[in-house]
Amino acid sequence: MPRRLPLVTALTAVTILCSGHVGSPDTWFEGTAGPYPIRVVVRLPGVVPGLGQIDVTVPPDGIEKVTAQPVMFDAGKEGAPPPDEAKPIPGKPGMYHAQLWFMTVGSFSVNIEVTGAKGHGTAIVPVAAVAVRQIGLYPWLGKILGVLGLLLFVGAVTIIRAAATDSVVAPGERLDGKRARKGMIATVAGAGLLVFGLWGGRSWWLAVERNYRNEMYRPFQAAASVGADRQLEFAITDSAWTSRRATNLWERFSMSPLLPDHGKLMHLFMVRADDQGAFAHLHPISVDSSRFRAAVGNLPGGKYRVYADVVHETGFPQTMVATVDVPPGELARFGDPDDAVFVGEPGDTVFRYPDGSTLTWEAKPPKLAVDTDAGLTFVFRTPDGAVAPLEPYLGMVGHAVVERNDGSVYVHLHPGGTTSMAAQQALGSRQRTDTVPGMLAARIAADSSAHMGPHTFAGRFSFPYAFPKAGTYRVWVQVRHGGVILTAPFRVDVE
Amino acid sequence: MATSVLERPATGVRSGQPSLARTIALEWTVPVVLFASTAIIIGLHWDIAWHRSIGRDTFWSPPHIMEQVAAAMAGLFCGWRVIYTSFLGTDADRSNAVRFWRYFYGPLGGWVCIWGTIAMITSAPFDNWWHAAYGLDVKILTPPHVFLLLGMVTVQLGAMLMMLSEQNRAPAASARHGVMFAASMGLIVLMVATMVYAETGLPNMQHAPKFYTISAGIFTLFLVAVARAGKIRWSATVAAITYMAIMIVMNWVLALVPATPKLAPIYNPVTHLVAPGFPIILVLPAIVIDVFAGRDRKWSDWAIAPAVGFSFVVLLVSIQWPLSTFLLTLDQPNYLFGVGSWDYSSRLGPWTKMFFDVPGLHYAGGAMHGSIDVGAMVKGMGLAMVVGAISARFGLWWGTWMRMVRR
Repeated sequence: MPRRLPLVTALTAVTILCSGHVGSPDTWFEGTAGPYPIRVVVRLPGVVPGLGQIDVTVPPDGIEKVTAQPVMFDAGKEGAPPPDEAKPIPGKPGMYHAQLWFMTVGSFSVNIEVTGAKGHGTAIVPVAAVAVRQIGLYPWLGKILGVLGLLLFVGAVTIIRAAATDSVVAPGERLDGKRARKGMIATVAGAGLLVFGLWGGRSWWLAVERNYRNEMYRPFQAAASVGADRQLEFAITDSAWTSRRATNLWERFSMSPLLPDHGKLMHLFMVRADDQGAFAHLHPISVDSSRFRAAVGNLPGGKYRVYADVVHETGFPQTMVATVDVPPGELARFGDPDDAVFVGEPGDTVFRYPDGSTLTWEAKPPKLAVDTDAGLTFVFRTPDGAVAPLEPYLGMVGHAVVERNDGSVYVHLHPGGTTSMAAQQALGSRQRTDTVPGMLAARIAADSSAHMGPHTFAGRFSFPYAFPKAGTYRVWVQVRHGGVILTAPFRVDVE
Repeated sequence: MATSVLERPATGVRSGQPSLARTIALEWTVPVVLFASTAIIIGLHWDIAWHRSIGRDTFWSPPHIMEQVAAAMAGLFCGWRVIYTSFLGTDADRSNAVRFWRYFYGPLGGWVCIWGTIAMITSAPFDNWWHAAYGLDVKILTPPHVFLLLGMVTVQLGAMLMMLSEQNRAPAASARHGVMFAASMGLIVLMVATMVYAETGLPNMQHAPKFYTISAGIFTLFLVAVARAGKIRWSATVAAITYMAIMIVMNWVLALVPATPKLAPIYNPVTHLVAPGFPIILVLPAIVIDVFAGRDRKWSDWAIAPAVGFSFVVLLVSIQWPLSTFLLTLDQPNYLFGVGSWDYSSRLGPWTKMFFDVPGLHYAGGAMHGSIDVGAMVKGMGLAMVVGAISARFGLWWGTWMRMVRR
């Protein structure tokens, strides 16, 4: 069985996709668990069932216990395993670590419960457990298994021959010709059986491989076009969505209706493909269940990468990816007051807006490394240098979009992390009676409290995040000041 | 045998006192492989109970370590025996061994043990990669697990073959060797019973023709083979007792070990390891098999086989049918008989006290409906007898070959 399979060895490329983002598999969450400010990082294994790594940071004073529990969307807390206690990391006060098994594909919340002097609090961190990792047989392992497999094959044939010949000869006697001939027949027959067994094992392995690939997550297929009227049309073309037929587990979680996130069904970002020099953040409105439309405004002509973020009622987030050619032209208005377009060069640590106010990446590390906190803290200052308060943009102080210059990494960040607020609401407010698709979505859409928040925010804010791989990135930070949406891009090199 | 080998001096024997190297190679290997075979099957039962009760595990769980250490011990001792026999032993030692790849000498069973150990070791990195590539298996049967199981069975087969050649070379009156051989086959019977546990293990399955067909197909093969090859009068009986005794002790011991489920969903919050269940009473059919198929019978093998197939099924039905009925009347879980301890993931209900797969009966709404389809039942039992007869015939061939194994 441990023979190398041409098909499996051919799959040397490691593809990392993650629902909700592109190429950025880890979940970062910053928020509160009752009275405790909390940061949670969930690293999923990329295979299901698999072991997820959970890191929790809380202010260390008076904390008695931190637990983590995976709760599946449609099983609820009653079907969840008992919470695991997160163990304090030695030498790092306030940091806790736990490992959780994610046994099935689906939309989960990782419920973090903190107990301490101030009482008791829970944070809900939405994660989508899907198979996204495809690895080939490691070359060294292939060699070891090949050698051992050959040894076992030859050994088995030799044992069969010995069983038919030497072993039945009395000690001291010699093998006669008749026995030797019988031995030869047994050897050939045994070798044939072994080859047959190996062939069966190979077929079995290939079937598992096929099945696994069928179960792997891939974002819904989508297509985008921009017409002469400067209207972007974004269509979900995936047969799973258009025919409403799930053929595997993750599709079951993505069959449910879309949930408005910050009041919008879809958050769509466009980045000019050749130089990342033009950027749009749009909120298309639905024309029908699979087509969405938005005006692209003054976006200059060129080829663009399109990322469309949606959240399903199950809390399952998706980022659909497409490319589009935008014809040259101008259009003075947008379809949605929260839409914005930006064209221009990025800043390094300070970006100056046309009116002289600035956005500064505070204490930007001189060198940024993969998988370490990127330190995305920004300060907004008016032209006189004073830190100024900001108005809510889509319910929060700011939004950041991170994109690697080849489009292989894309993530939409909030001060609350990489998770979507809609997913958090869905997982937090789902009840056992929510059995009809759309019920939960309607309830969440009707709950106006989700859009309420402070009227102004402090001018200093940050996004929890770590870059997943080395390369050149651009980070667009969007805030609202004086009723105007302000976009500030930054260039980042990650080693 | 090459003459050059016969002329080689024996370095292991000095002044009539066998060296430690020689003692380990020639004397210790036998108890060690028998111990390894036992530890493997006990470790496997512990492992299964772990999965049914706790659910979550790693490569380094105690039962896994027990299985791997047992296999490694068998492989290492047999490896040393091969090295000793090939390069340090006497010509007489080598003449008791089979030659392998020109230079190496060892008992057939030793080679089989070594093969099984290498297979088990090979399966470990393969299984690890498998989990990394396709996720932790929800199913037990995956290619690396089957490979591991194949390695385990092979080590057990090797142990049995070592006992066999010891028995066959020993003086005719050596009951000790005969019992050890029969017991080593009993360990294999326990292993195959474990493999078909999902179809035969629960009393709930023991009114279904499938249970009798599978039992007749599996157990007659091994019991007939050991009856034919064993030098003692009651070889099959000893093998059956070995199987039953270990099962009963495992029930009593495992059910005392506290355990908490660690994987969702938990429908049955067990507090202790789940017991494997009451063994099948194989000892009575085994006595009959010893009578029919023992090495000194004068009947033709073609007559013995159908006689075994028929009597095995008749006896098994007359024992297991009332016994399983009795077991299902007990309160669950029952410690003494080891019945009614269900997996943490089982949704318990009235079905736990009902019989499965009985022709004519179907389960709906918490109750059993219909009446037993006698025609289908008789047909099923007839099939079980035919399968038992075929299996017995193969057992006779196998046993006849085993009688000849001397090395």
